[in-house]
Amino acid sequence: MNAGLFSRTIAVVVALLLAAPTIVIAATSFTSGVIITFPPKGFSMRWYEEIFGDRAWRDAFVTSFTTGILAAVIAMVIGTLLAFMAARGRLVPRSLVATLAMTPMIVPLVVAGIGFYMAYVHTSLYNHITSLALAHAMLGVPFCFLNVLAALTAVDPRVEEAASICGAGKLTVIATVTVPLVLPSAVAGGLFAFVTSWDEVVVATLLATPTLRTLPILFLSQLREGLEPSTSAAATVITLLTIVLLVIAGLLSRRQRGRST
Amino acid sequence: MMVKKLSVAMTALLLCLGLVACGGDDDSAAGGEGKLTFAGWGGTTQENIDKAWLQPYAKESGVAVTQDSPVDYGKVKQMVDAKNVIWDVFEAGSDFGLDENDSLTPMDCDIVACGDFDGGPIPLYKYGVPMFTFSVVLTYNTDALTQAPTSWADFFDTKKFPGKRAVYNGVPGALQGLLDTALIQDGVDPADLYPLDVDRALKKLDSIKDDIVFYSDFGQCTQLVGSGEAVMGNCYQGRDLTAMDEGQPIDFIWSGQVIYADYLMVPKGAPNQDEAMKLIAYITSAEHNGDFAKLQAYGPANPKTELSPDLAAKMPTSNVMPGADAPVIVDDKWWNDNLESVTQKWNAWAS
Amino acid sequence: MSGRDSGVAEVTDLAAVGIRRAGRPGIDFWTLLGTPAMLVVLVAFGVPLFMVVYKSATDPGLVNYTDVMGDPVFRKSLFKTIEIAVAATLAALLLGYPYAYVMARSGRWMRSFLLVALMVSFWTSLLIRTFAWQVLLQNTGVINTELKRLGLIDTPLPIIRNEFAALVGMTQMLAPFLILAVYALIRAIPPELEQAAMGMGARRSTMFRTVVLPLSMPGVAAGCVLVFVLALGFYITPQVLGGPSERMVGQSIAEAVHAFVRPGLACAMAVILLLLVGLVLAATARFMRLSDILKMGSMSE
Repeated sequence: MNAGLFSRTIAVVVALLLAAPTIVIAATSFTSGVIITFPPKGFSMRWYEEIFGDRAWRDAFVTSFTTGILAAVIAMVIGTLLAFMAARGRLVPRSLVATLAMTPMIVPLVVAGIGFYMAYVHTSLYNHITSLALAHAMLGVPFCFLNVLAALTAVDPRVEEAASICGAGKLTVIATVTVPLVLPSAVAGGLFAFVTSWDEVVVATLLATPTLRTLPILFLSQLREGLEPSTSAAATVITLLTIVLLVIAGLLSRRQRGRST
Repeated sequence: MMVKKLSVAMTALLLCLGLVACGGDDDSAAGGEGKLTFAGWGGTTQENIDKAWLQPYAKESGVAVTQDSPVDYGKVKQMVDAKNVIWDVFEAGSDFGLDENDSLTPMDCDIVACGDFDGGPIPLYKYGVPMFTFSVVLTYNTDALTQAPTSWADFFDTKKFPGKRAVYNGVPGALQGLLDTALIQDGVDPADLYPLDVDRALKKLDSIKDDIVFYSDFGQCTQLVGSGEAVMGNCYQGRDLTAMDEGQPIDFIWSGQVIYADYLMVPKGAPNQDEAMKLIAYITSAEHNGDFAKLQAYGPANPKTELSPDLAAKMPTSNVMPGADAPVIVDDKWWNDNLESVTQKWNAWAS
Repeated sequence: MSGRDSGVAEVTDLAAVGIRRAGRPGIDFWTLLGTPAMLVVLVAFGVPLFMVVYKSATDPGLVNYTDVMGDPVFRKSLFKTIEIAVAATLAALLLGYPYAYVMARSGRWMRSFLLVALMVSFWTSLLIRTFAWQVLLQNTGVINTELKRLGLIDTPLPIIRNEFAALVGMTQMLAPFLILAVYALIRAIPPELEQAAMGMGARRSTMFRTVVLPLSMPGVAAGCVLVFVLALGFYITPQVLGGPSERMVGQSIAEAVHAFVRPGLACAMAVILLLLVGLVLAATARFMRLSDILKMGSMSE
């Protein structure tokens, strides 16, 4: 069952619109001029040489990446635990757990950002990467919570029962049956959490300190000054790198699956 | 299926984290006799501040200087209120309370040469020492206009000079000067500008409103005019000069320039207050205050600093024109007292 | 806020399905595990949120609210924010739905193409994309220059510094969320259903209306709510691409924090924006099961 010609045409046009900004940025990064023009003037790799030699970009990349991973891991753990609590816990009303887990998703960033800053500045977390990682993790919790909750509803309780009937202890059942069943969903949620953190600028700007400068913060300061081709180059490298990582991961997973079947 | 791919993707990312995190913390700040943190507005200007002042000072004094950006007045206040201050010195405009401000430490005139500024064009305040001067000037595109404008009167003359005007609409403090200029062009004597008749100024701006292109950061101004998106604009002279060096079709006039200064301030409860004062003393000293001008066309604020003639030619304070072309003098105190109400009126007008 | 509660009740239903009914009584293992997680969220997110509400009423006082609501610029920006968010949601839906549908129902080549376009865009920084749109749309930008060169226009089309530009940028950034939500659901519809409908003589449009559309509605709802709520908080993109009239509430909030140093005022605006989001969710919960919406927020399967 294939889609009709009309919708296919729309899809292709939209695809071009989606990709257009990225294409423009990639093209302008190879300009030999000092200002961004499109089409670019001449061809050169000078801006790539510049960013690879620039500490600020390298440091920001490391900070962004570390923050993103920390945030994703924290969000995965918290989101998963809350999902289990909502689905299977009996003490705390489920609605309470769900409200708590979902709120970060519906609070506009600028609102959350002010709150994070006003609260965290009073603690020793401030001026440390954990402050931003924790804040970003909170933004990622709803994704992980939802994904795991959805997976839990799909888990047939009889599978676990079967395992325990066969003599497995409770912890064994959790470790060998339940966790593997929901892990992919938790990781997918974590991926969303990572993206959220990776591209987040409002909260990051508020919590930024000399040692805590992420890529979006650099981008924003460049955007305010008028972008330079070096920014295009950095953005292109980052997009490419991210995609390459994902493709490698995809290939790895294919090979793993090939082995297991 | 997708989930499975994603899960492995995530694992791969996690592995990368291990590598990056381990490789990332290889170097820490060099330990010297002291340390301090400087916060600026970021961008090229801060890079040049680093080259002109921070690096030489660090070398000379052995103090390790870390940097942050951008400055955010709200952040200063929160840090001070929370008694968790991480900045020692920060750069600010004249729109962050200069004579009274609970969040700041008064300047220590035993360390800073406050006397140098007596009678100079830029005043020194209780909580801030001026670090450099720059100005907003009428900038125009030399390709788009057949004749060059000679005064701000031409900015308001859309018949003789058709085309878009780039006008700033970003942080409120930077409205200073534009309203003053509008009033002068409407016939107000520059000596009687204050208190500003905001409504009258906006009415004057109404006459060119259809031709205004608003921009939200000063960096965009030079770009808008340079690309021909606008034919004129109220841009920073320093950026204009850089763009002119790059060969963009841009020029500007000194007539009716609005001279500003950025100030150095110390938050209350800064962890290294003594070091902060020493850095400020260094930057604003007659000897070093002109070092920045060699990198970027922002002039020294210390009137005792001397520049070479070719550098001086680019600086606002050496291009003060007489009579009707004289620079616009902004009343900092009035602006600080009225910033919010003016901004409200401006936003209502602009949107 | 009652709406949010009923929404929560829906999530609860969803959760209830997952309950292990045969669980043995005794120590509640999952509550024990979940409580620390709950505490972390309460401290790390609940406290900051509480501080926003608290400051809005105490710093210096409730006068913040009268100040905010008395400001015509703020009132205007509130309506503008809603208007732009609605428009962006509609645009994302109109463009995103066919995209998701084609992505789910076409050959390998087409699907890969669409997926790559989606991901390339998704993984490019929002700020960078904002700048790129500026390069594309401005009077001396790519589109106007090319049209002029081809002799199609004399004066540049007004496609920058207005609501159109703000919408183009926001739609491009938000549509992927909707696409993913809808795609997940359409993939779950067995193609045989559609074949069967058409095999029995239904026209394509009838088949779509009676089979695909109803089954994908939860994804549409999920995507729309997600896009709308995200759009309410946008302000950097509309600020850069739009004109002064495209002023969003977020921008006022940021300004009150950065420039006026009046956190209380900013917090009052923030609370108002928060109430707006609550209202939207309440209204949505009236018309559809929120559990379906939330379920679709996930990308799994």
